[in-house]
Amino acid sequence: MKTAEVPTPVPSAGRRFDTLKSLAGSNLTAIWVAGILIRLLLIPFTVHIDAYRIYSRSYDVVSTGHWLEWDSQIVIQMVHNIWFLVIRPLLPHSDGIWSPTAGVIGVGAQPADYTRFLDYSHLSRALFLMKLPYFVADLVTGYLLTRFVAPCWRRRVLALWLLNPIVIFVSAVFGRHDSLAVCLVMLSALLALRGRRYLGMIFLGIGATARFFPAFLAPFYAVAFRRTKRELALLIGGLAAFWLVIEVSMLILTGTSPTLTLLNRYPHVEYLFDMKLAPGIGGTLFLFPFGYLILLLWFIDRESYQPEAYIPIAAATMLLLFGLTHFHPQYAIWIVPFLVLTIYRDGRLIACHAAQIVLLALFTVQFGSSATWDLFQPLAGNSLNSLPDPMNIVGAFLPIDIYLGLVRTLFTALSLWMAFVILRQSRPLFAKSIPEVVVDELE
Amino acid sequence: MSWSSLRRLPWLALLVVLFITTGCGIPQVLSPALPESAGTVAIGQKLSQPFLAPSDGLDGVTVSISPPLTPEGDLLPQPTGGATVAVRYAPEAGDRFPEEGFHDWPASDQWLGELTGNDAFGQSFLSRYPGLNGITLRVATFGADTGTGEGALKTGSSVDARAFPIDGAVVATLNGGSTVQVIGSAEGWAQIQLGANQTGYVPLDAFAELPSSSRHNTNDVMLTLYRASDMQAVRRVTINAAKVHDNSHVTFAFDPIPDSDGQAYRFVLTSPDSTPGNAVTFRYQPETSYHEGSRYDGAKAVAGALVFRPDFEESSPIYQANVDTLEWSSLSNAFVGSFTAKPNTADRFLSIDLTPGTRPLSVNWSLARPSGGQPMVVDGNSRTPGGGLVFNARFRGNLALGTLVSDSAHAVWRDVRHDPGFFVIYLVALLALAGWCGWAGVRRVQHGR
Repeated sequence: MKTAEVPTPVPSAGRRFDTLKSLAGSNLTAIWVAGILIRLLLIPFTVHIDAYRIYSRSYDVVSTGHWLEWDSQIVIQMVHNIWFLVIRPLLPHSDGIWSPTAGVIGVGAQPADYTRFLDYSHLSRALFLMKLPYFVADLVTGYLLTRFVAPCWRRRVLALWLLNPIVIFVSAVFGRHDSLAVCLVMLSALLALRGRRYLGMIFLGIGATARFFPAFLAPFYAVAFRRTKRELALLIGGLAAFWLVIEVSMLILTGTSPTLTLLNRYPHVEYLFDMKLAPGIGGTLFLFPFGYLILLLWFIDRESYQPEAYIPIAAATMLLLFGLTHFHPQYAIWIVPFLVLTIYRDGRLIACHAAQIVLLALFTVQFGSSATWDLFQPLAGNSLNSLPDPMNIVGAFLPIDIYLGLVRTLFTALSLWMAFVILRQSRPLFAKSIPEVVVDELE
Repeated sequence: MSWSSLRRLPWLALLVVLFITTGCGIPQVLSPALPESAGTVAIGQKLSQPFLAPSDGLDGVTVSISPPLTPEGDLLPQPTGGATVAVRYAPEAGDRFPEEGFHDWPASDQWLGELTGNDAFGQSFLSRYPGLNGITLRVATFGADTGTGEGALKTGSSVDARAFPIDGAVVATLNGGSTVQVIGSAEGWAQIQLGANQTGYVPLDAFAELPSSSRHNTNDVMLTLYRASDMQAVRRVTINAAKVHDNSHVTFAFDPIPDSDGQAYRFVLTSPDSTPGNAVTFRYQPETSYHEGSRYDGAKAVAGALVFRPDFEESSPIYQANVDTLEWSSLSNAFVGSFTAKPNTADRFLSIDLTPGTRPLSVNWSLARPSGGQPMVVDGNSRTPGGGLVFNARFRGNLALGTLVSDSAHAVWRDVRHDPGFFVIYLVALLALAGWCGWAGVRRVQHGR
């Protein structure tokens, strides 16, 4: 069957900003240097207690030799355990700084433990070494992103990633490990686009076991990169087999199911069902599962694909995910990588993303001091206690529920609009095939 | 929008931040939203809700009162009948000083030696409220109140024995004239044996006869209060040791100091005429969490803290208004009072007090207590819930930007001193990158790009 010629979408020149032209004309190396410099300035002086928790668990694992003790985020914990083995000799007199209860579910690291950590005499070195993998992951992801686009666009793509406030906040300021999984997912996409679909699938699988966000991309990956129905079954089967291997291995080794642990013990799963409509007696309509399923069915319904269709559909999926679920600000890094690859030629969408960043900053306020001032505790210590909780500042101006609702509404509307525009612009990449008879008539 | 106009934005943002942080202060509220109401409570005489103020510059209160409404849902004229709302300092709610609960005598606290001759027990502290008018300490007289052994109660009416002195629950009622076994004393009450495993407390003045005491303390104990800035004596109080009870609290009361708010003081206890066997002692914490002052032995600062609490006279309200004159917010169903910002409220316990007018007054209460964790107290209502008043307070305090910057610089310097090896590598990396940036910038200018 013949299919219509698929043109490459080219946004109109009028949508581009002069500033972006200037950015595109700048030196690629300058962006690398600026990105590295910003991170280096922040890394030794900021942290969130989450980073302390995961490394405290690593200390526990390395000290006791119970390598499979923390079974719910086994992959990412294992990465940290191995890295901790490497950096431990570089942290003198550090045995007393870790929390003995960080690995106890329901207890976690206690404030007194964290205070002890912040008082550590080699704190800057510790923070630098703890965040070094995230820093490297950011750089590798930046490099990978430049490989997706033509050389003339690499500078802009790199700038949109490496100088992105969300990425800097999550990896360098917060000290969050999601950048590691992001790197794997982008590597997976690049490999798949270069024909190494099965290898890419393995990296996507590892990424999905490290953080569950990439799991939502897996069905799109399988559909986008399949060549035949048999191959589709093989890809889906491969992903399922990968999950099964992890699941069964952990069941045998620890007696507990990582999936059930995740579903039963983690509030993050509930976040997926946080936004809902209650239309009446019939029950509740969960918005994200509803939207996700429609997007997936729509994508499957296409009969002809360019493999490149994976990029915009992944961007749209992440926008849908963060537009329709509750999330913590450190997870927002997942919005960025695929988005960068779909907006870099469209000034209007870049402006939308800038607005997203502003809204995310306003959204972060709801997490209070812990996600704002407290990140700078290694730098300013107890004097940060004099700063009011950001929520209390907002509350002095307008009712907090109106503020939060407004920010959330704008963010959701903007994200869904961006997803729509991205899908519309990329329509030729996954246009439903035109029946042969129609093509003949057109010809 | 051109690139040049975009480049001005950071400077504009910086100007806005500087304007906010230096000129106008940072507005904030006690809690982001009014706490959710769990019900209403009627005020008989007065409701007090202590709370810990997070900032200076209290300039507004919001109180959730349920006023009577017209059938149309509108407010009546004079809806509360002239109820008043007031905000005052509430030092009695504070627990920052090394004085535990009245009846708590932790074993980790210890007695100092006898205060005799040239001894001088001292303690410095920060007074956070105006009207400082006394210092309460814990004192022991080495058994001067009573000895141990049999004692006889006065004949006549029966006497209640309590689990604790003064306000403990009644655990036994003893017939007048009965004989009891006295095993000690505290707060001017004799501790008696009631059974094999039970003791109780009876007032010392309920006894016709007490076991004779091993000693009598007769000399004066003097407390001198110094202003810490110049060590000038501002108050001096003398109490004769004979008037002090064993294992008890003693208050050295003096004329109020109106401007004691925010002042640092040091008090010194002396008893020059006391000799070993005729002296009292005071209690202290060898290890303390109190860090707003130091304990002194003579002129030398030593570890720990005396167990003490400063007392303050009840000050006049820093804000008072007729509730009927306040703005009614139909958005939050609460009365909102705004006023000129009051200084010196940060980190102090304040109390919002409501007094009914001519109409009965019902207020909303919440399961959540405000900052400071104190419950509301309702006089004249024995069934007060243990929650907090549904209210909010607004502040406009200045940002301690200087402290933040200096603390940050100090922290970095501390890290550099502790880990010079890391910082040498770190600075080399930074300088190399910054140098490259500068060099690249110069090249771009030279090439006219």
